[in-house]
Amino acid sequence: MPSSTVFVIDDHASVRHALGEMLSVFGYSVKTYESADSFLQAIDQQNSGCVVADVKMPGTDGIGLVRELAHRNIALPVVLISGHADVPMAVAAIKSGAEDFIEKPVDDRQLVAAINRALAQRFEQQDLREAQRTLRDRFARLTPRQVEIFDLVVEGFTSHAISAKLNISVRTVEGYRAEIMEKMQAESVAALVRQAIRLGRITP
Amino acid sequence: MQSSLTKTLSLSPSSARASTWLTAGVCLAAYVVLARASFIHVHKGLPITPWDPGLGVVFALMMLAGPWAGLVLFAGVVLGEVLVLQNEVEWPIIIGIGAITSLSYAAVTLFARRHLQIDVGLVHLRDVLMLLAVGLAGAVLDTVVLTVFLLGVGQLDVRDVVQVFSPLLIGDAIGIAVVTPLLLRFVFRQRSVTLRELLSMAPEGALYLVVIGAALWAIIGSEGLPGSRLFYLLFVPVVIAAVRHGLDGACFSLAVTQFGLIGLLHLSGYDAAQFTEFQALMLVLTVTGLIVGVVVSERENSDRLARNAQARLMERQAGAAHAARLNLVSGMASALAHEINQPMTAARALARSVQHILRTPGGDPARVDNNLTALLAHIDHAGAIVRRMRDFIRRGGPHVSTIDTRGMLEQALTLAFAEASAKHIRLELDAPDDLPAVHGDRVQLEQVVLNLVHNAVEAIAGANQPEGQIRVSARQHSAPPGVEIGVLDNGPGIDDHLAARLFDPLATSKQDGLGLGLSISASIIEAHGGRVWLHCREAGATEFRFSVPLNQSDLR
Repeated sequence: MPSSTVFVIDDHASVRHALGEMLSVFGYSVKTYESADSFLQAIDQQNSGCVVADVKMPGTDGIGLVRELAHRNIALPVVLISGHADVPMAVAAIKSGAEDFIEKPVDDRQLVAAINRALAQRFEQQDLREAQRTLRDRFARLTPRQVEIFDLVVEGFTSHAISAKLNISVRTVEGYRAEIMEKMQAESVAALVRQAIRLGRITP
Repeated sequence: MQSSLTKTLSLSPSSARASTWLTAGVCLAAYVVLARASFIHVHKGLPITPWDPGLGVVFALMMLAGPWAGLVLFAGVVLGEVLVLQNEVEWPIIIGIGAITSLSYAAVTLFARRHLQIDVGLVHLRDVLMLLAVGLAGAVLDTVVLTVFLLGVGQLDVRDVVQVFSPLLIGDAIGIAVVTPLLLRFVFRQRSVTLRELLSMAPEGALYLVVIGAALWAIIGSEGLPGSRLFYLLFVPVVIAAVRHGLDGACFSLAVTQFGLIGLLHLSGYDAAQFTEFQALMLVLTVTGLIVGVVVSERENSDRLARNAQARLMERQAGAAHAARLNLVSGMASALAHEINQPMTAARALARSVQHILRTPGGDPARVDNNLTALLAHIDHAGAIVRRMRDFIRRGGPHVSTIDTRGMLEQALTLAFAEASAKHIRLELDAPDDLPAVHGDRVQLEQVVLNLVHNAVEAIAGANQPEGQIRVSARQHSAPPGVEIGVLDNGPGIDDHLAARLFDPLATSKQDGLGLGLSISASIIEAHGGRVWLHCREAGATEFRFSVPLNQSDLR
């Protein structure tokens, strides 16, 4: 898994440096940018972590940044901070998909909580995506015959029914099943059924 | 005398009545005492000394309080006859003399109060001339009626008429001319003059006493020559006093001269005819002194009024400038709050980082030190903005001093930077270090700079222009010697319609603006002897400039 970084973006050098210093003292890995545009140039989809960005900035502003990340399909949560926060701005921030919206002067507990919450959610989602990818990889290693038998097994056919249906011996069916179970690393038919649901082979 | 004026003040009726009686009593006593002091010659039971200061006292009371004070005059005449002259004139005649005198003056006083509107403060030449005319009219009336009366009752011989008539007339006239203005001025000024002021004038007063005394000694003491030949000497101190101190100086020096003259004549025993001649000359001197004095006072008064008007105008302008500063700062309030919020945010984050390092075993002291240094700088930055803002909106009269021009620009831009950076506009100062100092009101000049920058920020922000830029530049120029300061922006420019009436009050392109900024700026710069103008109104290079001359001889 790639390392998680907090990206601090503020056009005010004082705020950028101070927030960066604080977060780095707290133990985060921190990178600072003076504008959303320079940040957008520097990152790609491989980056993971969390963005802390000022709302009002020259060029792309904080809310524009959230939209641009979504548009580029970059899964980075954004915590917006603002010196002159008002209700419409907060509403626009949350609607745009920002993780949180914090007023300056920033309460560090609030900021850290928001960063951690965002990171935790991303980690969970990442785990989920990771598991899904593993599952697909395993499924892809099945031969067409094994896929055919996989589908029949998860649909509830017994080995006898499958041997009758496919006109092969029960022993052969048992052999396929063992190979499928091993490739999919499923310890039981129940586990195999859950995998089939997650793979979309069957609907629960 | 003072209490006769307190009648108009908000005293309770009983105390006002008491003080009126007290004033009348004091005047009566003064009349009798002065009659005793000035009495020299008696002609068949009549005091024919050509000098009646007591009449001057009572006439002043009549002018202030009204004709009823003629009663005091009546009592004074009767008491004077009885206590001072102690002759055997019959009672009906004494009563008749008192009645004629008091009724004569009551009549002219009534006429004057009804028809002439004399200001008893004697502020104008007209008031003095009218007062003298009324006094003279009273004296003529009194003398004529009295002469006829005395002839009628057989108290006076037709042959004696001239001998009695002229001293009486001159005595009444000069008594009023010397004493009445003195007392009226005293009543008028007594509230506004402090003891300290009087003491500070004491040496000069003593000098007048010495000079007048010497002149009188020369006049009276000159043997062989008739004293009246040297009388002109007395004009010198009286006119000098009148020129230097106006009517008050004239009244003072005339009183000193008159009392000194009477005293010396008493001692040297001049006869009645010579005395009368001196008093006639004295009357001329008195009228001259009073007229010179009141003309000088009038001019001083009008000068003072003009100065007061000027001062009030400046106060009002300062008030308007202050109101415009408040308006300017309130227009920038959100930007300023934001600008203070930034260092606060940074300071708080750094403080937390320091705390965290200190709580962690093996924390890095150098890092703590660095962070604290940065933290202090942020707090100082926020403090500077707050301080500038407070100085800027503090109310105060115009305060002129010598100003370091570059320093003034930097301070003005402390606030302007806040606003520009909130709108993401680049603001730069281009001013050489060796700009000469100018003379003026620092806060007001800062106000002009800030106002121009504020207008530029609004113009750029209003046009939603990216890459906004404002440049404040200052240059010295030599002919005429002065400093020229320009505020250049790359905003949308100024259209013809607005450019034509740019400096009018209430001309504005902003929806929430008062439109006072430029007109106030123009009046501030005009007061500094300079001018404000629109140097270029093109889009992309709009520039306002103003000049402040170095030699502001007419700095108001």
